[in-house]
Amino acid sequence: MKRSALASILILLVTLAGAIAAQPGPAAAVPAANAFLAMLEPGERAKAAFPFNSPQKTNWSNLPNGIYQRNSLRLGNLTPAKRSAALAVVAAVLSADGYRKVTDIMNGDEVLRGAGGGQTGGRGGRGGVTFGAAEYYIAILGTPSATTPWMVQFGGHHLAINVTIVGQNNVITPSLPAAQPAKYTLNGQTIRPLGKENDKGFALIGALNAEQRKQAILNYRVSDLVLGPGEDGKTIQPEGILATALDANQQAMLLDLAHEWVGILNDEGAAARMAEIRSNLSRTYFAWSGATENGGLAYFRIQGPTVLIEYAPQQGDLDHIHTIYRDPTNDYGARLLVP
Amino acid sequence: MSAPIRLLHLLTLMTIVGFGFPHSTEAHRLDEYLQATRISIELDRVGLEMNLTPGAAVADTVFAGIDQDRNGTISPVEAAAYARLVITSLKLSVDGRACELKVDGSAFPQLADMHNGEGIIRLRASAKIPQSAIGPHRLAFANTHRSDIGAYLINALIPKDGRIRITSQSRDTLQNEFKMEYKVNER
Repeated sequence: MKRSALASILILLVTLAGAIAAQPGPAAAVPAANAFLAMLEPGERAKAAFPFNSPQKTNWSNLPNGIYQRNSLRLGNLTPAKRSAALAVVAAVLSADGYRKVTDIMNGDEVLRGAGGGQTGGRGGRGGVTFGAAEYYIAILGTPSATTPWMVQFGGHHLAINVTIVGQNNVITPSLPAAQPAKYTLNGQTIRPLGKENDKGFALIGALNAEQRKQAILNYRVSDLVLGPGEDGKTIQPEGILATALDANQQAMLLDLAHEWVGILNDEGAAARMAEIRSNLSRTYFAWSGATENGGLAYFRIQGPTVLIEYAPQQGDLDHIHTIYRDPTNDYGARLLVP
Repeated sequence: MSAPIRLLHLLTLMTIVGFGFPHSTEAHRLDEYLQATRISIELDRVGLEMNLTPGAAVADTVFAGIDQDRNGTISPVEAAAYARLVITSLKLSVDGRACELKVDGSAFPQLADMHNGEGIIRLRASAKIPQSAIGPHRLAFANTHRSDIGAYLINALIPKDGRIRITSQSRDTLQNEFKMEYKVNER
């Protein structure tokens, strides 16, 4: 095994070991963030700590390094202990499933790197595109606090996690979990970072009757996210079938599908966000474009007053999935910040 | 996250013996020229926001159409000329009357980013329309720019003016053409 691959695996081991020490929930994230910041040298701290209202708040993307400039602190530049502390902060604001999804996406990018991804990119003298588990960045915006607003931002290629915390309230919008490869093997196990999203989406469209499908299925191709990175503050006209046209079981499937994104956040925060989505079902739409048999190529969208979720395979490639989760009323905690 | 779950995850990874590799090694858009348009409707104006993303495999041909002097960079004059070229490929009408679009702004990426298939050209354009009377209206939009390689998205934004309510939308299969009906209500 190449030395670089071993180093990357070591990064994962160390960071996950650090995550074990963390405790869940926004309150527990405060000591984790303070412990991480306290470990940093001044130069590292300058890259990790930002004012809460810094422009860094919207500086995220699905793109890899070499194409997109992230100004925060790169995991690959940290000692194992500091990487561990950084990942402990991320783990503290996420659920168990959410943290596993994050590591699955990072491991997938390591697979992409190992397969030679990025070697053809970066022409024009700007350096190559870089993939791998070391190419993820963390930022703390504001002062970690049990009362005043602060934010944890973590991401890299195919991943953007933005958790805004105000006391015991917190949101994870906007966030972008994506995957390439969408399926890989690790330690003999098949990993599908967004497999449940795919399968639950197909299960829901499969559960609709012919009349419901007429309403849900768009008659046109959707080849990418409509409101991806850089499209903050926009709300598109909803389409598809209204959730009130679904029966109780189908509504439960819709909520369970939405939870795949909402539930990346810690359990307390996710429960609050799901309650909002549930209370707005009468104004929530489910739209579908593409094949209806699992294994085919399909785009889908869930859109309601407090949720926009898009799932979009890229350019006909089932092995390359982009998704986005937004809350039109609460991206970056906008609603939590209203006095 | 509970400590036992994290420990299980850790123990799983501690026995790593290797990764399985995927078939594809490219992370970016390849042979399509993605053109995403968002339409905003106001009482006396239609606004367009366009994100144009040439895939890595077609970036050279798109760039050649912009870099007229072939010096490897996009000058303001070349950017303005390309923005006008794109606009000429668009057709917009409201209530059956053709609308004249003008470019309000543009931003072009670095050549290297276009080569990677992730450079986004951003255009803003708008058209003034006669003050919309109370009642139903219809808007039609079509984009035929680089239809040989184009992949299209067209979406209407929810109107910021609460008097305007979109009542229906339709598109062709490839999203070259978009039609929308909307209603202007009394204040």
